[in-house]
Amino acid sequence: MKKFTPKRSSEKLLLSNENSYQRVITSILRMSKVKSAYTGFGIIWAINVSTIFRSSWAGDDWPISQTPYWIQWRYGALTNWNIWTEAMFWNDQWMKGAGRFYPLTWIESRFAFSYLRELWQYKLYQVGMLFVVGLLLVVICYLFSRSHTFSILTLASLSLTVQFRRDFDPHLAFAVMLPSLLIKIFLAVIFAYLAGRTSKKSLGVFHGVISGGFFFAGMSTYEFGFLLFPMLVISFLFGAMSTPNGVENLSRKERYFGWLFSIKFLPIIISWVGYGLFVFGYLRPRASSISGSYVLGLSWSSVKVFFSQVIMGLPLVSLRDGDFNFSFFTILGGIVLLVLSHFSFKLLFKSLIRSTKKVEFQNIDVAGMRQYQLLLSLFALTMILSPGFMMAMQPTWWNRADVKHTYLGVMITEFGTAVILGFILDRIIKSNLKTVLLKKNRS
Amino acid sequence: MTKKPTQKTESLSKFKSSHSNRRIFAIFVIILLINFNHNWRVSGENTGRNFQYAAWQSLTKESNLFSDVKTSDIFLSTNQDDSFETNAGSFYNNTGIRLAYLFNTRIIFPNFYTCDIALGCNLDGIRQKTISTLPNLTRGTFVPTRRDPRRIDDWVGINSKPEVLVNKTIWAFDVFLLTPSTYFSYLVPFIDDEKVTKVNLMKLRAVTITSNQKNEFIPAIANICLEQSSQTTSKSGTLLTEWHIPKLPIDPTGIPVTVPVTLDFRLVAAGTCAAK
Repeated sequence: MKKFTPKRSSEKLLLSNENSYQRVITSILRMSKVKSAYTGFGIIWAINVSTIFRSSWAGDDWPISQTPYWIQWRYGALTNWNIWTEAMFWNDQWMKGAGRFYPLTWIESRFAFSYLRELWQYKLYQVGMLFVVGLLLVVICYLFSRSHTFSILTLASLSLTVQFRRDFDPHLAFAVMLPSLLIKIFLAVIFAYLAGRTSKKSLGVFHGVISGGFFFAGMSTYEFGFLLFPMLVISFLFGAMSTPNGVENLSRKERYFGWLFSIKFLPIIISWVGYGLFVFGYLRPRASSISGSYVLGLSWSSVKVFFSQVIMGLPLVSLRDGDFNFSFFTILGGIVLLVLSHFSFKLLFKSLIRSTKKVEFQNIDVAGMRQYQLLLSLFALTMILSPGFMMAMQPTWWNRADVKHTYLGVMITEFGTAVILGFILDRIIKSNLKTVLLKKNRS
Repeated sequence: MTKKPTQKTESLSKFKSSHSNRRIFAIFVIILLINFNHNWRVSGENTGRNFQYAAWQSLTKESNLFSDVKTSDIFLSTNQDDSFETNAGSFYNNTGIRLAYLFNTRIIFPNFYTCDIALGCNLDGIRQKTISTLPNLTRGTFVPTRRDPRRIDDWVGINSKPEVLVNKTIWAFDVFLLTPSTYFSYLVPFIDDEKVTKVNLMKLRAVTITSNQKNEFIPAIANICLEQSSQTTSKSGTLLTEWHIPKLPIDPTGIPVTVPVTLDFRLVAAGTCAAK
């Protein structure tokens, strides 16, 4: 087959215009399909989290929902200052008593419950926060991969991995602590990426400071955030790798450890180390009554607890007897979800057909791909493994945690599992398309 | 041979017909629907207290049960639980009456369940014990330096001052589910006697809140069938009925009985009589 070569400059111009028009039109068509697929799976995600509306106050939310009334009773009026006083009182008690530092949970929950007193208002807040967490994860997936397909499939996967639990449930209860933590951690991850990506040192440091700030806020919402530090490291590396020069000129050692010496990453390290020193170096040694729940240990039971928690994000893992009994409403909702899924997948597949010329679909260099896969896996594994790791080290969980019993960190595992699931789906679907294209070319 | 440079439009139908992608879609949808159903079910499973919550709102906002209660009075309740809505804060918000506190009986009398009346065990010193327990609720040394100018002191501090609670009424109060569809509450003042813990039974008033639009029974207290005072439908659609001790009392078997003017607090137990 001969290659087509334009003979005259006017022909060249015509062809180039034709190609650019085609490219623009293809791109617009593809983007509209991509946007529609995002919207479709976004609606599915929203419908899934909206089931929260059906619940009542649950877990700690019962007593915390009484906050505004206690404040009125004790201080005579519900003012911002009185709410602040109440929050600081409880923070003070937990700092001095248990050596814990999570003031933002006290502040957020006291203000939220003081102003969102009706159940539907609070549930709307819960739904909104969880929905936003999902969207932020999708943004992160896009930043890391520059692939709409992967991001959309991660968004889709969230509706499979996020499962309400029958014991300690972070979706329905516990004052939105986990979604609030994840929002801050994900924002920190995004800014760590931007810090790594930017070539300007001052701008990079600025992004690093914002990231460090969000990270500190995350840890001050729930100390669990401390274990999520590797996510920021990986995000920074992703950012650094995405620069035009990338990491081509760096040695392997510099690639992975260069971040340690980067001033752009320093604010994040200061935030992490600072929090650790404050809690473990100052508060804990001075705590007057550390409960058994906050004592760390290690035994053979830890291994069992750890592995039982690793799988808690897998789809359908929390199913119990009776979960296959569908009501009229769930059948109706199911039909809506079925139709939405059908159109969303159809649009996603169509957008894939049009994107075969795009970077995300071409064979990028194998080494780069491996590095990307490794970092993405580490990012997701940090989320999947850390809750189990934490519980495995808490003797209080050794005889309680199993595949039926979990704790609040399970939400983090669910989000990590969604990333892995999204990635696997992305690989499978793209490899299917490649097979079809090869067949087409051969014929 | 030259070929026109056309953008290769890959066969959509071929791609769509890819079995693997169809399988992915099918598996995705099946898991999605099961998970949606699971989340829907779990979400609806923690609504068991909704009736109690709504009934408390009706009781405190719409009934006349607390018309004789004054600011800084004290409530003692066996089923009170600060973890839920049955607390002094919610009571203040709904009724406008700022109690000194709504205590759980066991806080005032730690031996409440072991002190057997049949064995001659006596509960005494109710006012003294209540007044001495209240300061435990103070926020201790944690008082922010920048105070709200409208705030004189916290309510515990005000009521912990000497003589403030000396003349306040202490009430026996309780709220609980008598049946799954009937929420029951009573209120009766303690007599002012530090040697015994007795209530003035003649002043007892009670309220039932029924999710059905009909009272299936008449409540009884200390084996005395109560008499209906009034009946209304609450804003939440439940039936709110107020009760008092009748002038010609009968017991659940229908036999006339004499009402003791005072009764040991531990004998104030709820029961039912057949509806007329």
